[in-house]
Amino acid sequence: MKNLTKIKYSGLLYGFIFAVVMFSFCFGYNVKATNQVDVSHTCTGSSSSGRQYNFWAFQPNVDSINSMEFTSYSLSNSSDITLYLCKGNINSSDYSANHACANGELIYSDTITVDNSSATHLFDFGQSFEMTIGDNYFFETYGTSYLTSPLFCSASPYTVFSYNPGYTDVYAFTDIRPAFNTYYDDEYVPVIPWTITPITPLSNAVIASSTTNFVVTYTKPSSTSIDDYVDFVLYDNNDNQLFKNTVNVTSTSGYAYISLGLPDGLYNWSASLYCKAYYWNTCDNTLVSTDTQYFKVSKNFINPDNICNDIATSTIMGEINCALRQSLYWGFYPGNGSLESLDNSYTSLKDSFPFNAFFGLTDALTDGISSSTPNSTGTLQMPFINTSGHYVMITVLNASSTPNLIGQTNTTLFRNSIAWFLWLATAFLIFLTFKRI
Amino acid sequence: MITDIIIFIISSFINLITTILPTWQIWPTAFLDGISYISSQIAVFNFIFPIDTLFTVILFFISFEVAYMTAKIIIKVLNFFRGTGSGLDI
Repeated sequence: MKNLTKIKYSGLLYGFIFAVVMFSFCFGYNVKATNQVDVSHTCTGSSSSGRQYNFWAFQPNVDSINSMEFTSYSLSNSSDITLYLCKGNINSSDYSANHACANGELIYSDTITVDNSSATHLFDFGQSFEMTIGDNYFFETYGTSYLTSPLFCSASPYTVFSYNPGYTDVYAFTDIRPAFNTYYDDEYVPVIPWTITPITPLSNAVIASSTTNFVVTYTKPSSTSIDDYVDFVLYDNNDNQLFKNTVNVTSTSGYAYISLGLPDGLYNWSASLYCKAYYWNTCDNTLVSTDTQYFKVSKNFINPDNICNDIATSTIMGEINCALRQSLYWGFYPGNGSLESLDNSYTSLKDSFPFNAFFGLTDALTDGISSSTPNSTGTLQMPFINTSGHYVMITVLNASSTPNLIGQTNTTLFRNSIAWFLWLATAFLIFLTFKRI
Repeated sequence: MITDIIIFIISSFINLITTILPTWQIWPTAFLDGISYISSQIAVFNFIFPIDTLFTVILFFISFEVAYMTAKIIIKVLNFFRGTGSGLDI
Protein backbone atom coordinates (compact mmCIF):
# COMPACT_ATOMS: atom_id res chain seq x y z
CA MET A 1 0.00 0.00 0.00
CA LYS A 2 2.83 2.31 0.92
CA ASN A 3 4.49 1.57 -2.40
CA LEU A 4 1.27 2.35 -4.27
CA THR A 5 1.03 5.70 -2.49
CA LYS A 6 4.64 6.45 -3.39
CA ILE A 7 3.99 5.65 -7.04
CA LYS A 8 0.87 7.81 -7.00
CA TYR A 9 2.70 10.85 -5.59
CA SER A 10 5.63 10.30 -7.93
CA GLY A 11 3.25 10.24 -10.87
CA LEU A 12 1.66 13.48 -9.72
CA LEU A 13 5.08 15.11 -9.32
CA TYR A 14 6.31 14.05 -12.77
CA GLY A 15 2.99 15.07 -14.30
CA PHE A 16 3.30 18.50 -12.73
CA ILE A 17 6.87 18.94 -14.02
CA PHE A 18 5.81 17.83 -17.51
CA ALA A 19 2.90 20.30 -17.47
CA VAL A 20 5.18 23.14 -16.38
CA VAL A 21 7.68 22.34 -19.16
CA MET A 22 4.99 22.12 -21.83
CA PHE A 23 3.32 25.29 -20.53
CA SER A 24 6.59 27.18 -20.72
CA PHE A 25 6.76 26.54 -24.47
CA CYS A 26 3.69 28.72 -24.89
CA PHE A 27 5.56 31.74 -23.52
CA GLY A 28 9.00 33.21 -23.86
CA TYR A 29 10.74 34.79 -26.77
CA ASN A 30 11.15 32.97 -30.01
CA VAL A 31 13.87 34.24 -32.30
CA LYS A 32 12.66 34.37 -35.87
CA ALA A 33 14.98 34.90 -38.76
CA THR A 34 12.07 36.36 -40.70
CA ASN A 35 12.29 39.48 -38.56
CA GLN A 36 15.42 40.43 -40.44
CA VAL A 37 14.20 42.87 -43.06
CA ASP A 38 16.15 43.52 -46.20
CA VAL A 39 15.11 46.92 -47.42
CA SER A 40 17.63 47.25 -50.22
CA HIS A 41 15.06 46.72 -52.96
CA THR A 42 12.89 49.68 -52.13
CA CYS A 43 15.46 52.39 -52.55
CA THR A 44 15.37 55.69 -54.28
CA GLY A 45 17.75 58.60 -54.27
CA SER A 46 18.74 62.09 -55.29
CA SER A 47 21.65 64.48 -55.17
CA SER A 48 22.24 68.02 -54.08
CA SER A 49 25.44 69.98 -54.64
CA GLY A 50 27.37 66.81 -55.30
CA ARG A 51 26.07 65.04 -52.27
CA GLN A 52 24.29 61.82 -52.76
CA TYR A 53 21.04 61.15 -50.95
CA ASN A 54 19.52 57.76 -50.66
CA PHE A 55 16.35 56.49 -49.10
CA TRP A 56 15.27 53.07 -47.97
CA ALA A 57 11.61 52.67 -47.21
CA PHE A 58 10.25 49.80 -45.19
CA GLN A 59 7.37 48.64 -43.06
CA PRO A 60 8.51 46.97 -39.83
CA ASN A 61 7.02 43.66 -38.86
CA VAL A 62 8.16 43.91 -35.22
CA ASP A 63 7.83 46.75 -32.74
CA SER A 64 11.43 47.81 -32.14
CA ILE A 65 14.74 48.26 -33.92
CA ASN A 66 18.21 48.55 -32.44
CA SER A 67 20.88 48.04 -35.09
CA MET A 68 21.75 48.01 -38.77
CA GLU A 69 24.19 46.01 -40.75
CA PHE A 70 26.12 47.24 -43.76
CA THR A 71 27.55 44.74 -46.17
CA SER A 72 30.47 45.95 -48.18
CA TYR A 73 32.62 44.56 -50.94
CA SER A 74 35.55 46.83 -50.44
CA LEU A 75 38.18 47.16 -47.74
CA SER A 76 38.26 50.93 -47.76
CA ASN A 77 36.36 52.71 -45.03
CA SER A 78 33.56 55.04 -45.97
CA SER A 79 33.76 58.70 -45.30
CA ASP A 80 31.41 60.11 -42.71
CA ILE A 81 27.82 59.42 -43.57
CA THR A 82 24.85 61.16 -42.09
CA LEU A 83 22.11 58.74 -41.25
CA TYR A 84 18.48 59.51 -40.46
CA LEU A 85 15.68 57.23 -39.42
CA CYS A 86 12.30 58.76 -40.14
CA LYS A 87 8.67 57.83 -39.79
CA GLY A 88 6.34 58.64 -42.67
CA ASN A 89 6.50 58.60 -46.43
CA ILE A 90 9.35 59.77 -48.58
CA ASN A 91 8.40 63.09 -50.11
CA SER A 92 9.83 64.69 -53.21
CA SER A 93 11.01 67.60 -51.06
CA ASP A 94 13.28 65.16 -49.23
CA TYR A 95 15.26 64.67 -52.44
CA SER A 96 16.66 68.16 -52.42
CA ALA A 97 16.31 69.12 -48.78
CA ASN A 98 19.37 69.64 -46.64
CA HIS A 99 17.52 68.21 -43.71
CA ALA A 100 15.92 64.86 -43.36
CA CYS A 101 12.33 63.90 -42.82
CA ALA A 102 10.93 67.00 -44.48
CA ASN A 103 7.48 65.52 -44.28
CA GLY A 104 8.07 62.87 -41.70
CA GLU A 105 8.92 62.44 -38.05
CA LEU A 106 12.64 62.30 -37.26
CA ILE A 107 13.35 59.37 -34.97
CA TYR A 108 17.13 59.18 -35.06
CA SER A 109 20.06 60.98 -36.63
CA ASP A 110 23.79 60.48 -36.37
CA THR A 111 27.00 60.75 -38.36
CA ILE A 112 28.53 57.34 -38.80
CA THR A 113 31.49 55.76 -40.56
CA VAL A 114 31.13 52.32 -42.02
CA ASP A 115 34.15 50.26 -41.10
CA ASN A 116 34.90 48.10 -44.10
CA SER A 117 37.87 46.30 -42.65
CA SER A 118 35.55 43.33 -42.61
CA ALA A 119 32.92 42.44 -45.14
CA THR A 120 30.10 43.31 -42.80
CA HIS A 121 29.74 46.02 -40.27
CA LEU A 122 27.14 46.16 -37.56
CA PHE A 123 26.12 49.60 -36.47
CA ASP A 124 24.40 49.66 -33.12
CA PHE A 125 22.07 52.57 -32.39
CA GLY A 126 22.83 52.16 -28.70
CA GLN A 127 19.13 52.09 -27.92
CA SER A 128 15.92 50.51 -29.08
CA PHE A 129 13.34 52.53 -31.01
CA GLU A 130 9.66 51.79 -30.65
CA MET A 131 8.01 51.24 -34.02
CA THR A 132 4.46 50.69 -35.14
CA ILE A 133 4.07 47.48 -37.06
CA GLY A 134 2.86 48.12 -40.61
CA ASP A 135 3.53 51.87 -40.63
CA ASN A 136 5.82 53.48 -43.18
CA TYR A 137 9.39 54.28 -42.16
CA PHE A 138 12.49 55.15 -44.11
CA PHE A 139 16.22 55.57 -43.69
CA GLU A 140 18.03 58.42 -45.33
CA THR A 141 21.78 58.68 -45.81
CA TYR A 142 24.03 61.19 -47.50
CA GLY A 143 27.71 62.03 -47.61
CA THR A 144 28.79 64.90 -45.41
CA SER A 145 30.75 66.64 -48.16
CA TYR A 146 31.35 66.62 -51.88
CA LEU A 147 32.83 63.35 -53.13
CA THR A 148 32.34 61.53 -49.88
CA SER A 149 30.91 58.08 -50.15
CA PRO A 150 27.28 57.84 -49.29
CA LEU A 151 25.61 54.50 -49.15
CA PHE A 152 24.32 53.72 -52.58
CA CYS A 153 21.27 51.63 -52.92
CA SER A 154 20.65 49.18 -55.66
CA ALA A 155 17.54 48.02 -57.44
CA SER A 156 19.24 44.79 -58.43
CA PRO A 157 22.53 43.15 -57.55
CA TYR A 158 24.17 44.41 -60.73
CA THR A 159 23.05 48.01 -61.16
CA VAL A 160 23.81 51.01 -59.05
CA PHE A 161 20.97 53.39 -58.60
CA SER A 162 21.76 57.05 -58.77
CA TYR A 163 20.13 60.33 -59.74
CA ASN A 164 23.51 61.89 -60.09
CA PRO A 165 24.87 61.05 -63.56
CA GLY A 166 26.68 64.38 -63.83
CA TYR A 167 29.01 63.63 -60.95
CA THR A 168 30.88 60.65 -62.25
CA ASP A 169 33.49 61.07 -59.51
CA VAL A 170 30.86 60.07 -57.06
CA TYR A 171 30.59 56.76 -58.81
CA ALA A 172 34.34 56.34 -58.74
CA PHE A 173 34.50 56.97 -55.04
CA THR A 174 31.57 54.84 -54.19
CA ASP A 175 32.49 51.32 -53.38
CA ILE A 176 29.99 50.37 -50.75
CA ARG A 177 27.52 47.87 -52.03
CA PRO A 178 24.00 48.62 -50.98
CA ALA A 179 23.24 45.51 -49.00
CA PHE A 180 21.55 47.13 -46.08
CA ASN A 181 19.75 45.12 -43.49
CA THR A 182 17.94 46.11 -40.35
CA TYR A 183 17.91 43.95 -37.28
CA TYR A 184 15.60 43.91 -34.35
CA ASP A 185 16.21 43.40 -30.66
CA ASP A 186 18.38 40.40 -29.87
CA GLU A 187 17.97 38.94 -33.31
CA TYR A 188 21.23 39.76 -34.97
CA VAL A 189 22.70 36.73 -36.69
CA PRO A 190 26.30 37.37 -37.72
CA VAL A 191 26.96 37.01 -41.42
CA ILE A 192 29.82 34.70 -42.31
CA PRO A 193 32.80 37.02 -42.85
CA TRP A 194 35.44 36.93 -45.56
CA THR A 195 38.34 35.00 -44.03
CA ILE A 196 41.37 33.13 -45.28
CA THR A 197 43.69 31.07 -43.09
CA PRO A 198 46.94 29.38 -44.06
CA ILE A 199 47.10 25.66 -43.26
CA THR A 200 50.40 24.55 -44.76
CA PRO A 201 53.26 25.24 -45.02
CA LEU A 202 53.30 27.44 -41.94
CA SER A 203 56.29 29.50 -40.83
CA ASN A 204 59.38 27.51 -39.78
CA ALA A 205 58.23 24.42 -41.69
CA VAL A 206 60.86 22.31 -43.42
CA ILE A 207 59.57 20.62 -46.57
CA ALA A 208 61.46 17.47 -47.53
CA SER A 209 59.03 16.35 -50.21
CA SER A 210 59.56 16.87 -53.92
CA THR A 211 56.18 18.65 -53.98
CA THR A 212 55.06 21.44 -51.72
CA ASN A 213 51.32 21.78 -51.13
CA PHE A 214 50.01 25.25 -50.36
CA VAL A 215 46.68 25.00 -48.58
CA VAL A 216 44.33 27.63 -47.16
CA THR A 217 40.83 27.56 -45.74
CA TYR A 218 38.39 30.34 -46.51
CA THR A 219 34.88 31.52 -45.67
CA LYS A 220 32.62 33.92 -47.57
CA PRO A 221 29.23 35.44 -46.88
CA SER A 222 26.68 33.06 -48.27
CA SER A 223 24.86 35.84 -50.07
CA THR A 224 27.86 36.54 -52.27
CA SER A 225 29.09 33.07 -53.00
CA ILE A 226 29.76 33.49 -56.70
CA ASP A 227 32.98 32.95 -58.59
CA ASP A 228 35.47 34.46 -56.19
CA TYR A 229 39.08 33.39 -56.24
CA VAL A 230 42.21 32.85 -54.17
CA ASP A 231 45.61 34.04 -55.37
CA PHE A 232 48.66 32.13 -54.13
CA VAL A 233 51.88 34.12 -54.38
CA LEU A 234 55.32 32.61 -53.75
CA TYR A 235 58.50 34.62 -53.12
CA ASP A 236 62.13 33.66 -52.75
CA ASN A 237 64.38 34.63 -49.87
CA ASN A 238 64.89 38.11 -51.37
CA ASP A 239 61.16 38.72 -51.74
CA ASN A 240 61.25 38.32 -55.52
CA GLN A 241 57.98 36.94 -56.77
CA LEU A 242 58.48 33.46 -58.21
CA PHE A 243 54.99 32.27 -58.82
CA LYS A 244 51.39 33.36 -58.78
CA ASN A 245 48.43 31.08 -59.29
CA THR A 246 44.72 31.62 -59.12
CA VAL A 247 42.17 29.14 -57.81
CA ASN A 248 38.45 29.79 -58.19
CA VAL A 249 36.34 29.25 -55.10
CA THR A 250 32.58 29.01 -55.38
CA SER A 251 31.28 27.53 -52.14
CA THR A 252 30.86 29.67 -49.03
CA SER A 253 33.65 27.82 -47.21
CA GLY A 254 36.27 25.22 -47.96
CA TYR A 255 39.85 24.60 -48.93
CA ALA A 256 41.90 26.01 -51.77
CA TYR A 257 45.29 24.59 -52.66
CA ILE A 258 48.01 24.33 -55.25
CA SER A 259 51.02 22.01 -55.52
CA LEU A 260 54.47 23.10 -56.66
CA GLY A 261 57.78 21.32 -57.09
CA LEU A 262 60.43 23.58 -55.56
CA PRO A 263 64.23 23.36 -55.42
CA ASP A 264 65.95 23.56 -52.05
CA GLY A 265 65.95 27.01 -50.55
CA LEU A 266 64.18 29.52 -48.36
CA TYR A 267 60.77 30.79 -49.43
CA ASN A 268 57.82 32.78 -48.22
CA TRP A 269 54.26 32.83 -49.46
CA SER A 270 50.86 34.33 -48.84
CA ALA A 271 47.39 33.96 -50.26
CA SER A 272 44.62 36.49 -50.80
CA LEU A 273 40.91 36.10 -51.26
CA TYR A 274 39.42 38.26 -54.02
CA CYS A 275 35.92 38.82 -55.21
CA LYS A 276 35.20 39.07 -58.91
CA ALA A 277 33.72 42.23 -60.32
CA TYR A 278 30.07 42.61 -59.51
CA TYR A 279 29.49 46.03 -60.90
CA TRP A 280 31.45 49.07 -62.02
CA ASN A 281 34.61 46.96 -61.67
CA THR A 282 34.82 48.02 -58.06
CA CYS A 283 34.84 44.57 -56.54
CA ASP A 284 38.12 43.32 -57.97
CA ASN A 285 39.87 44.09 -54.71
CA THR A 286 41.69 42.08 -52.13
CA LEU A 287 39.23 41.26 -49.41
CA VAL A 288 41.47 39.42 -46.96
CA SER A 289 45.00 38.03 -47.01
CA THR A 290 46.97 35.55 -44.98
CA ASP A 291 50.06 36.53 -43.03
CA THR A 292 53.31 35.83 -44.84
CA GLN A 293 54.56 32.33 -44.04
CA TYR A 294 58.27 31.52 -44.19
CA PHE A 295 59.44 27.98 -44.89
CA LYS A 296 62.37 25.99 -46.13
CA VAL A 297 62.62 23.28 -48.75
CA SER A 298 65.39 20.80 -47.99
CA LYS A 299 65.20 17.53 -49.83
CA ASN A 300 68.42 16.37 -48.19
CA PHE A 301 66.32 15.97 -45.11
CA ILE A 302 65.38 12.33 -44.62
CA ASN A 303 63.01 11.54 -47.42
CA PRO A 304 62.17 8.25 -49.14
CA ASP A 305 62.33 9.97 -52.51
CA ASN A 306 66.01 10.83 -52.26
CA ILE A 307 67.34 8.63 -49.52
CA CYS A 308 69.44 6.69 -52.06
CA ASN A 309 70.57 9.69 -54.08
CA ASP A 310 74.23 9.33 -53.08
CA ILE A 311 74.32 5.56 -53.68
CA ALA A 312 75.22 3.90 -56.96
CA THR A 313 72.18 1.63 -57.11
CA SER A 314 73.40 0.08 -60.38
CA THR A 315 75.67 -2.18 -58.34
CA ILE A 316 74.51 -5.01 -56.11
CA MET A 317 76.21 -3.56 -53.04
CA GLY A 318 74.63 -0.22 -53.81
CA GLU A 319 71.19 -1.81 -54.04
CA ILE A 320 71.76 -3.61 -50.73
CA ASN A 321 72.92 -0.37 -49.17
CA CYS A 322 69.86 1.46 -50.53
CA ALA A 323 67.50 -1.30 -49.42
CA LEU A 324 69.01 -1.19 -45.94
CA ARG A 325 68.52 2.56 -45.73
CA GLN A 326 64.95 2.35 -47.00
CA SER A 327 64.17 -0.45 -44.56
CA LEU A 328 65.53 1.54 -41.65
CA TYR A 329 63.61 4.59 -42.82
CA TRP A 330 60.41 2.58 -43.16
CA GLY A 331 60.91 1.03 -39.75
CA PHE A 332 62.12 3.86 -37.60
CA TYR A 333 61.27 7.20 -39.13
CA PRO A 334 57.94 8.34 -37.69
CA GLY A 335 55.23 9.64 -39.99
CA ASN A 336 53.71 13.09 -39.65
CA GLY A 337 50.40 11.57 -38.55
CA SER A 338 52.05 9.78 -35.63
CA LEU A 339 53.91 12.89 -34.52
CA GLU A 340 50.76 14.95 -34.80
CA SER A 341 48.85 12.40 -32.76
CA LEU A 342 51.56 12.45 -30.09
CA ASP A 343 51.55 16.24 -30.06
CA ASN A 344 47.75 16.31 -29.62
CA SER A 345 47.97 13.78 -26.79
CA TYR A 346 50.69 15.80 -25.09
CA THR A 347 48.62 18.99 -25.41
CA SER A 348 45.58 17.23 -23.93
CA LEU A 349 47.69 15.95 -21.05
CA LYS A 350 49.01 19.43 -20.37
CA ASP A 351 45.44 20.72 -20.19
CA SER A 352 44.35 18.03 -17.73
CA PHE A 353 44.45 18.31 -13.97
CA PRO A 354 46.90 18.10 -12.17
CA PHE A 355 49.36 18.72 -15.02
CA ASN A 356 47.66 21.98 -15.96
CA ALA A 357 48.51 23.32 -12.49
CA PHE A 358 52.15 23.26 -13.53
CA PHE A 359 51.91 23.90 -17.26
CA GLY A 360 49.32 26.67 -16.89
CA LEU A 361 51.78 28.54 -14.71
CA THR A 362 54.88 27.87 -16.77
CA ASP A 363 53.13 28.64 -20.04
CA ALA A 364 51.84 31.96 -18.67
CA LEU A 365 55.30 32.84 -17.39
CA THR A 366 56.97 31.76 -20.64
CA ASP A 367 54.51 33.72 -22.76
CA GLY A 368 54.79 36.76 -20.49
CA ILE A 369 58.58 36.77 -20.59
CA SER A 370 58.74 36.04 -24.31
CA SER A 371 56.44 38.93 -25.11
CA SER A 372 58.28 41.37 -22.81
CA THR A 373 61.06 43.40 -24.34
CA PRO A 374 63.72 44.49 -21.86
CA ASN A 375 65.17 47.89 -22.69
CA SER A 376 67.49 50.39 -21.10
CA THR A 377 65.20 53.39 -21.28
CA GLY A 378 63.50 52.81 -17.94
CA THR A 379 63.94 55.23 -15.07
CA LEU A 380 63.33 55.36 -11.34
CA GLN A 381 61.56 58.55 -10.29
CA MET A 382 60.63 60.22 -7.01
CA PRO A 383 58.05 62.90 -6.33
CA PHE A 384 59.20 66.39 -5.38
CA ILE A 385 57.57 69.77 -4.93
CA ASN A 386 59.09 72.55 -7.00
CA THR A 387 59.35 76.21 -6.02
CA SER A 388 55.95 77.01 -7.51
CA GLY A 389 54.32 74.41 -5.28
CA HIS A 390 53.63 71.79 -7.95
CA TYR A 391 54.40 68.13 -7.64
CA VAL A 392 56.97 66.88 -10.18
CA MET A 393 58.59 63.53 -10.74
CA ILE A 394 62.38 63.78 -10.74
CA THR A 395 64.48 61.01 -12.23
CA VAL A 396 66.92 59.73 -9.63
CA LEU A 397 68.17 56.65 -11.45
CA ASN A 398 68.50 55.85 -15.14
CA ALA A 399 70.74 53.97 -17.55
CA SER A 400 73.55 56.51 -17.21
CA SER A 401 73.58 56.56 -13.39
CA THR A 402 75.87 53.58 -12.87
CA PRO A 403 78.34 54.51 -15.69
CA ASN A 404 78.55 58.00 -14.19
CA LEU A 405 79.36 56.52 -10.82
CA ILE A 406 81.85 53.75 -11.65
CA GLY A 407 82.54 54.17 -15.40
CA GLN A 408 81.23 52.29 -18.43
CA THR A 409 83.86 49.53 -18.30
CA ASN A 410 83.13 48.72 -14.69
CA THR A 411 79.39 48.91 -15.36
CA THR A 412 79.69 46.33 -18.13
CA LEU A 413 81.84 44.15 -15.89
CA PHE A 414 79.37 44.50 -13.04
CA ARG A 415 76.43 43.64 -15.30
CA ASN A 416 78.18 40.62 -16.79
CA SER A 417 79.14 39.44 -13.31
CA ILE A 418 75.53 39.54 -12.20
CA ALA A 419 74.57 37.58 -15.32
CA TRP A 420 77.14 34.92 -14.50
CA PHE A 421 75.87 34.73 -10.91
CA LEU A 422 72.38 34.15 -12.27
CA TRP A 423 73.64 31.23 -14.34
CA LEU A 424 75.52 29.90 -11.33
CA ALA A 425 72.30 30.04 -9.29
CA THR A 426 70.54 28.12 -12.07
CA ALA A 427 73.23 25.46 -12.06
CA PHE A 428 72.80 25.15 -8.30
CA LEU A 429 69.01 24.75 -8.67
CA ILE A 430 69.52 22.05 -11.29
CA PHE A 431 71.96 20.33 -8.95
CA LEU A 432 69.31 20.40 -6.22
CA THR A 433 66.80 18.92 -8.69
CA PHE A 434 69.07 15.92 -9.20
CA LYS A 435 70.08 15.76 -5.57
CA ARG A 436 66.61 15.35 -4.13
CA ILE A 437 65.75 12.41 -6.40
CA MET B 1 56.64 1.78 -38.93
CA ILE B 2 58.13 0.46 -35.70
CA THR B 3 58.45 3.98 -34.35
CA ASP B 4 54.90 4.70 -35.50
CA ILE B 5 53.63 1.75 -33.47
CA ILE B 6 55.58 2.85 -30.39
CA ILE B 7 54.26 6.39 -30.74
CA PHE B 8 50.75 5.03 -31.21
CA ILE B 9 51.02 3.04 -27.97
CA ILE B 10 52.37 6.05 -26.08
CA SER B 11 49.68 8.35 -27.55
CA SER B 12 46.95 5.87 -26.68
CA PHE B 13 48.26 5.58 -23.13
CA ILE B 14 48.37 9.36 -22.73
CA ASN B 15 44.88 9.65 -24.23
CA LEU B 16 43.64 7.08 -21.73
CA ILE B 17 45.11 9.08 -18.85
CA THR B 18 43.68 12.30 -20.29
CA THR B 19 40.23 10.75 -20.55
CA ILE B 20 40.32 9.74 -16.90
CA LEU B 21 41.75 12.98 -15.55
CA PRO B 22 39.46 15.91 -14.80
CA THR B 23 39.92 19.28 -16.53
CA TRP B 24 39.80 21.49 -13.46
CA GLN B 25 41.45 24.84 -13.85
CA ILE B 26 43.32 25.90 -10.73
CA TRP B 27 44.75 29.21 -11.78
CA PRO B 28 42.26 32.01 -12.35
CA THR B 29 42.68 33.83 -15.65
CA ALA B 30 43.28 37.06 -13.75
CA PHE B 31 46.24 35.46 -11.98
CA LEU B 32 47.78 34.25 -15.24
CA ASP B 33 47.22 37.68 -16.79
CA GLY B 34 48.90 39.14 -13.71
CA ILE B 35 52.01 37.07 -14.34
CA SER B 36 52.22 38.38 -17.89
CA TYR B 37 51.74 41.94 -16.63
CA ILE B 38 54.36 41.63 -13.88
CA SER B 39 56.93 40.18 -16.28
CA SER B 40 56.38 43.09 -18.66
CA GLN B 41 56.77 45.55 -15.78
CA ILE B 42 59.93 43.88 -14.48
CA ALA B 43 61.43 44.24 -17.97
CA VAL B 44 61.49 48.01 -17.42
CA PHE B 45 64.26 47.59 -14.84
CA ASN B 46 66.68 46.23 -17.40
CA PHE B 47 68.54 49.57 -17.17
CA ILE B 48 69.83 48.72 -13.70
CA PHE B 49 69.73 44.93 -13.57
CA PRO B 50 70.27 42.34 -16.37
CA ILE B 51 66.60 41.43 -16.69
CA ASP B 52 67.22 40.01 -20.16
CA THR B 53 69.62 37.45 -18.68
CA LEU B 54 67.20 36.78 -15.83
CA PHE B 55 64.44 36.00 -18.33
CA THR B 56 66.74 33.71 -20.32
CA VAL B 57 67.71 31.91 -17.12
CA ILE B 58 64.10 31.46 -16.02
CA LEU B 59 63.04 30.13 -19.43
CA PHE B 60 66.00 27.75 -19.45
CA PHE B 61 65.18 26.48 -15.97
CA ILE B 62 61.50 25.99 -16.78
CA SER B 63 62.37 24.12 -19.98
CA PHE B 64 64.82 21.96 -18.08
CA GLU B 65 62.30 21.13 -15.36
CA VAL B 66 59.61 20.28 -17.91
CA ALA B 67 61.92 18.03 -19.92
CA TYR B 68 63.42 16.43 -16.82
CA MET B 69 60.08 15.74 -15.14
CA THR B 70 58.61 14.39 -18.38
CA ALA B 71 61.54 12.02 -18.85
CA LYS B 72 61.30 10.98 -15.21
CA ILE B 73 57.59 10.22 -15.45
CA ILE B 74 58.05 8.21 -18.65
CA ILE B 75 60.84 6.15 -17.11
CA LYS B 76 58.80 5.56 -13.97
CA VAL B 77 55.81 4.41 -16.00
CA LEU B 78 57.97 2.05 -18.04
CA ASN B 79 59.55 0.69 -14.85
CA PHE B 80 56.09 0.27 -13.34
CA PHE B 81 55.07 -2.00 -16.20
CA ARG B 82 58.36 -3.84 -15.96
CA GLY B 83 57.73 -4.38 -12.27
CA THR B 84 60.90 -2.61 -11.21
CA GLY B 85 61.83 0.79 -9.82
CA SER B 86 60.54 2.61 -6.78
CA GLY B 87 56.93 3.04 -7.82
CA LEU B 88 55.07 5.86 -9.51
CA ASP B 89 55.53 8.51 -6.81
CA ILE B 90 57.52 11.46 -8.04
